[in-house]
Amino acid sequence: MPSLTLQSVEKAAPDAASLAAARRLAKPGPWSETGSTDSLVWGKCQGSGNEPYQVSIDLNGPAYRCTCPSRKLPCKHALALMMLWLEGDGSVAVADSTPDFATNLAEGRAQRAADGATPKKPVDPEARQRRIADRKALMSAGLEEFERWLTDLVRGGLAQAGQQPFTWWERTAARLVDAQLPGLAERVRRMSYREARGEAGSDLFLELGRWWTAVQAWRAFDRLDEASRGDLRVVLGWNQSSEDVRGTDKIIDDWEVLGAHRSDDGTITQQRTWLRGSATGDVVQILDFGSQGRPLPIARLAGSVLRCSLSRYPGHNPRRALFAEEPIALDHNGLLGTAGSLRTARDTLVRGWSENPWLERVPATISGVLRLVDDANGCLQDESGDRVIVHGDPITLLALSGGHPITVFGELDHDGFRPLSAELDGELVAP
Amino acid sequence: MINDSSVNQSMINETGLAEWWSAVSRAALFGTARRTPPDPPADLPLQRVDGTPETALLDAAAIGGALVRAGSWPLVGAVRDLEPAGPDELKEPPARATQLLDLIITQSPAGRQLQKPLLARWLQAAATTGCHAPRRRLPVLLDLAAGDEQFQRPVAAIADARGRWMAGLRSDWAWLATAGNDHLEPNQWLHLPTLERAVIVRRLRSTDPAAGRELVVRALPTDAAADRATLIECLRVGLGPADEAVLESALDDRSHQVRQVAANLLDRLPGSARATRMAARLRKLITVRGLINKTLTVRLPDPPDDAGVRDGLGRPAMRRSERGYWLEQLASGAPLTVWTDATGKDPDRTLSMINDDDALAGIRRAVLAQSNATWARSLTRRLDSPDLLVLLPDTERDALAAERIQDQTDFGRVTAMINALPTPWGPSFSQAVIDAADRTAGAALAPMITTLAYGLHPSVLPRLREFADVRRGHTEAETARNLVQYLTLTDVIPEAFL
Repeated sequence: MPSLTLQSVEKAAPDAASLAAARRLAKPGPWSETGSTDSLVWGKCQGSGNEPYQVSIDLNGPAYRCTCPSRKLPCKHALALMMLWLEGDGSVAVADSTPDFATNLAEGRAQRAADGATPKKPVDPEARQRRIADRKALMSAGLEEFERWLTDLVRGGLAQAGQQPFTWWERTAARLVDAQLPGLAERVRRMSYREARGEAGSDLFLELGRWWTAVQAWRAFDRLDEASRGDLRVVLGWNQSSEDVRGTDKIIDDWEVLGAHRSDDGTITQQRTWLRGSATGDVVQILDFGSQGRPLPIARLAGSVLRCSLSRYPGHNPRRALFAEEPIALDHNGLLGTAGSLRTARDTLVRGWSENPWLERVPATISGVLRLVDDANGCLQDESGDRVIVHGDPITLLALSGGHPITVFGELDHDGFRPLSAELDGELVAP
Repeated sequence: MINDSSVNQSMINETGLAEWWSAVSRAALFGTARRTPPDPPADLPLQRVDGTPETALLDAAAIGGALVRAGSWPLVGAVRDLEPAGPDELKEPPARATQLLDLIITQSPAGRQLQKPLLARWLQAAATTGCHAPRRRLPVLLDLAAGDEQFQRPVAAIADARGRWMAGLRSDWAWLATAGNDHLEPNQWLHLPTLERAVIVRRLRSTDPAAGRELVVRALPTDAAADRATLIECLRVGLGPADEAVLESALDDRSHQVRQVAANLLDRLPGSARATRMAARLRKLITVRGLINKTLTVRLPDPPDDAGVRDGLGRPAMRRSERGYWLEQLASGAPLTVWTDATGKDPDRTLSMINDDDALAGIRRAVLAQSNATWARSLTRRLDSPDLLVLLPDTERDALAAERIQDQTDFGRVTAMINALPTPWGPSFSQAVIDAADRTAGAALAPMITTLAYGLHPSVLPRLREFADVRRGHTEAETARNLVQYLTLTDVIPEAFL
């Protein structure tokens, strides 16, 4: 349990007004149904509405949740509850079990309450269209500004850009975030880190080309086909809501888990799971994101087969998908099936680039031999003798394969190959 | 494709493209304010209607970049030449055993300090049942042994063909090639650093003492004094009468240190010529009077002659009486039979007649050097010397050691006993240790956790559980819990291999 003190609560307050308001509320009076365990603190606070606001605080984080309409986080109710609990005078007692409202709230299933908790309102199509138009306007303005920044950059030259301080990049990234373009912002930030470390080199020019392509493509957004629009939205960072996706496309199949990868770039962790439909042979990827307050879901075992319907996001192959329903794991396990050569995998990647210039990687099943380049780096050599660098430490796969030919599934990108699973002794294992 | 134009890649002149790309990248570095970007090749659709130099450069980055990326395959340079691994000879461990190893490695179920002892037990069980290491865990096991010499033999025992192949992949794992291979060419051995030579000699002495001795003999003529002393000390392992000649000649060594080491080792050979000489000197000092109620007196020796000095009767440490020191040396170097021959009685009664402190100190050393259990049994009642107990048979030692620490309030004494006794301990002593720890409210457990893990008898498990349950200080309870986990798992481990 992290050690939270009144000081940390004060630090967490978004502004002085919230803190002052919280202090006024940090008395037993307005509170009911309070309680705490090792990891959760909860309670209900009577506000100005009819129904009291439900508050829950997950101590592992900490993560604050409240049903009041305030946009501040943590709100004055959450702060007040923390203060009450820390005071330890018994008004927030240790409980044996957690009431439903607290668990529901902590798991994010509760509604935000307006004055007088109303049931979920039906989506007003007109309002929705207006919101979309507003957003697109914001993004257009942001992209125009970004375009000007790009032309300024090439006017001054890339060498000069490399001399710029970190804040120069960060300002552009922040403006992109304000314009609802977080995807581009993240790419700008990543490039700035590489420039700062002197690692960017010729990649900066190439990446500029890809940003430029995004800006030009946005101009033609309404004329693009659905798949291209989907790819562009991913680059810009205009996320599709999962409800929208679930509503449109559904395929029922037995999906075999080919492999998965977890990556951690500091604040966000991402999990990619590749599935292959047994009926169609289509390969899709499930993306899960985790952050400090929310852990990733448990990784699926390579080789397991899940019967369920998936919904796919618009985009070119390989498509992102999500579970339209809870999958049922079947009894039998699958293998990788026919393997291809590195050349055909590479062709798939290149073809993919012609459809989606921002494509990062394609799934591929290769049969070959793992070899060492030096003590720390390995490569995969396929049957025709072509070789590709292997991302990550090859040592476990070397131990498992012993330098003998194996069939591996993984991701091929421009720089190399990342093995995610291998067939050994008649079963699929993760390295 | 998103751009309006479609590009037919096969039609593009590749050399022209490469040259243009390199020119355009250079222009980009300087910027359009300073350089005009070069015209693109005719077959690239890069003409804009209302273009500026900046948009031209960015278009070039976009389209040119895409083409260049599509056309270049990142090359892999040289790779290491390697034959694939040979077939394994040992059998695959049962799934349960592999899971247990995974648990020990990833979760340290008995706490961090006991992780290595648990691993040691697992490796032992695997070797006993003829299983090789799970392949997935070879890297971590090879790393472990690379960092900790005591794991090299156990890991080498279960590495099998796959493990030996893996060891060839990384310079860190080269130790596997030489582990268990003590048959070095003597000339190679000579040129190693002394500490490594000593390690090899000691290892060799446990299987082939003669070979070990030969190596030492080779080095003596040319080594420095300190190194000579180190190597002769190695003869302690597997010491036997065959070593007498080397040690006797070492008594003539130029270095005092070497002579001392040799003399100490000769104490352990009661059949040697030196022992006989010491016995002769000692006999002269012992007087036994009386017929029925015998008394024994020992007088202090006179200053030694050259032969005496050679045998170890040199100058003692400061503030110690010379003659007392010489008496102790004589008692330590002479066979114990000198005393029983003089009295005509058994060791127990003989001992009861000896009251001189220096003589007793020497006798104690002789008992330890000559590994005499009968004398040890009696002496242990006279002297508080835990290492004497080591010479006794297991059950007797267990009971005696337990008795010794029964009501001991000075935990320092208990620690001395714990450190002297070889592990694993018997049930009585184990119980007594827990009781002693209880008397100090368990604070003593944590620092000794590894010794306790190796020593405690499984029968104390219930007592340890009590220890962990009673509301105690956090460290004590945790130490007890970890020990409970450890002892439980050491039972589970061999079962997992069945």
